[in-house]
Amino acid sequence: MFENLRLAIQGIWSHKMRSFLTMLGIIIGIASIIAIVSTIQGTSEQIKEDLIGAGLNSVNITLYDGDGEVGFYGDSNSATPVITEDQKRKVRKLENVVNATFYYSRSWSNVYYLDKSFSSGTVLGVDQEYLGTKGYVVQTGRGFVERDYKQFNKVALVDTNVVETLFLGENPIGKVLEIEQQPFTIVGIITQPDDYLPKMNSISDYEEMMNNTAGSILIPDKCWPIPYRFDEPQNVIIRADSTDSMSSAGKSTADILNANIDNQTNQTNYSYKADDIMEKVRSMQKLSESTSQQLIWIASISLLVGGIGVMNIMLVSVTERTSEIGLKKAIGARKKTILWQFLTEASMLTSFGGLIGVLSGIGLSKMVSKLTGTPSAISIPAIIGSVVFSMLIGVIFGLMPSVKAANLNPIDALRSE
Amino acid sequence: MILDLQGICKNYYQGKMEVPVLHDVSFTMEEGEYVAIMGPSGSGKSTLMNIIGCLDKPSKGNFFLDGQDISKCSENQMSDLRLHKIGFVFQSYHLLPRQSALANVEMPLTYARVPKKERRERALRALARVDLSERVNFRPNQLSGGQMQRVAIARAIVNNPKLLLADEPTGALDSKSGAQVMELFQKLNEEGISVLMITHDADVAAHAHRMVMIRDGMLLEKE
Repeated sequence: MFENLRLAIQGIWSHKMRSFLTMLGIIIGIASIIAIVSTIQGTSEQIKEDLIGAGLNSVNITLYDGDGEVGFYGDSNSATPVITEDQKRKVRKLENVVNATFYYSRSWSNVYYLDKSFSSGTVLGVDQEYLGTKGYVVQTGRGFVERDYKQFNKVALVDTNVVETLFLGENPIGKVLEIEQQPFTIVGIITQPDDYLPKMNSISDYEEMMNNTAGSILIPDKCWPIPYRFDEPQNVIIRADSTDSMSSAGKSTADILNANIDNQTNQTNYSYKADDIMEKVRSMQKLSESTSQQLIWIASISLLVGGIGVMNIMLVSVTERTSEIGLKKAIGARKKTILWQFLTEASMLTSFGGLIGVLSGIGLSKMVSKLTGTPSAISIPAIIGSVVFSMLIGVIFGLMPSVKAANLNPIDALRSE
Repeated sequence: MILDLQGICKNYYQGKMEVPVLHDVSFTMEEGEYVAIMGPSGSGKSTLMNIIGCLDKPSKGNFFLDGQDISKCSENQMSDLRLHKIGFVFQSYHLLPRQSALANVEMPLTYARVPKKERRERALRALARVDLSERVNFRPNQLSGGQMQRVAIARAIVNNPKLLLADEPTGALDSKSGAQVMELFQKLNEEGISVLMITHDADVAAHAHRMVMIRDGMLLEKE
């Protein structure tokens, strides 16, 4: 065995240039596969981080009418399902739920500061858990306190987008906003730490972001009926304890909310559904992975070509070494010994090629990630897989030449000088 | 008896034509003998040597090597016979060019699965027997023809064969190195190895105890 390895290395080393050229096909194939896998895996991680926002793990649960969200703009024909205090308690007690908030939300409503309209903003009626669940912190002024809820204080919080778009950077604290003709006094500015903000990589990300970030105005949920009058469905956001438990926590929350929805509304299609962001992540990852799979197939063609190259060179090598093989057989080497010697040499050749390919693939993916800014993740299974696979190529394509060598008739082989 | 050939025939096919090379060859050789087979080229002496060397099987007849019936041997058994009972010496040495003299001599021992340390010791001893202790690490292209042939002889005897089979061992050597090689055969024979030499040179054949002529595939004993 070691003897074979030694002979194989010697054989490869004594024809450095030829061996390298033979390996080139394998090197290129493996390098491109490693580069593709690393880049795709890096992108996949990036997608996950972008969509989820690192560390927040929040899941939206929204009331659906069939497949569409319930758009509720004062339609009093249908009874609105109400989330009871008991349900809220149950949701908060769920195993993987760290925090939960229940809130009203309204876009395109009549909001004015002096004579300036701010209808593109969103007005939210929030409970005291909202800021904590969404990862907001109060930048200036104060947040909502117990007293605001008990006394139905008409106070409001605005986020930094509102400060920029409506107040043009002026300090808004103490200013009065008119929401559906009701005056609300601004008491604080809230902001979300950068870590929690989803990153944007494409135009569609940007548009989605712009749609809901013209700015948010928060008022206590107890005061919601003052400007908006009607009962309306509440949205739910929960915060899961880990990224992996997001889907299951979202589903269990929706189940609790759906438990007695039928008694509360005449709309049979109504149901709460968790916005499964992990599902989105997975489907996007799947997309990028299927692309990478196709790319890997293409790269595999170069492995095939490389393998044929190895076969070719091994055949030449067998012909060249006919007299050596004949001698070895004459002095007592069995067929199997010769077969193994050549198989070892072929698989050593391709394994070396695979190893060099892995190294240059890692280098390539690092370079790509430097140039394009996309991250790359080195996949250990892919590396091990490539080396094993290239070894296998050596065995498969080395088999024919090796059998040819083993079957050489020693008499004919000795005569060829 | 180390060799016992009874009525050996060998035919080759040229296309569909059967060409007889050996006719009813019978020949015996005792252990410790030194025999030369002489014959012009085309007489069938190489074919005979291939059969005796277990590289080829006869078309007809029985051949016993050290009491073993070759016709019943599998390919692997033939390999093992070549490995353990026979040492080959060729006219053109057939050394591996990129290996040192020592590695060349060690080679049969690796096939015999001798442990590395013992392999080295035995190879060094064999090289000492052919008087090449000082050239152990030389490669074939750093050695003279006579030295290369002596390395080949060391390789042939390293596994303690019963029979040394030499095919024109001096054919490519100048007369001085040739004489040295012949001396070496003499010495090895005196140490107990049977030697069978094929040659067309009468002077070389004269070293043997017994000479056998082969002509047109038939043997003629000559005293």
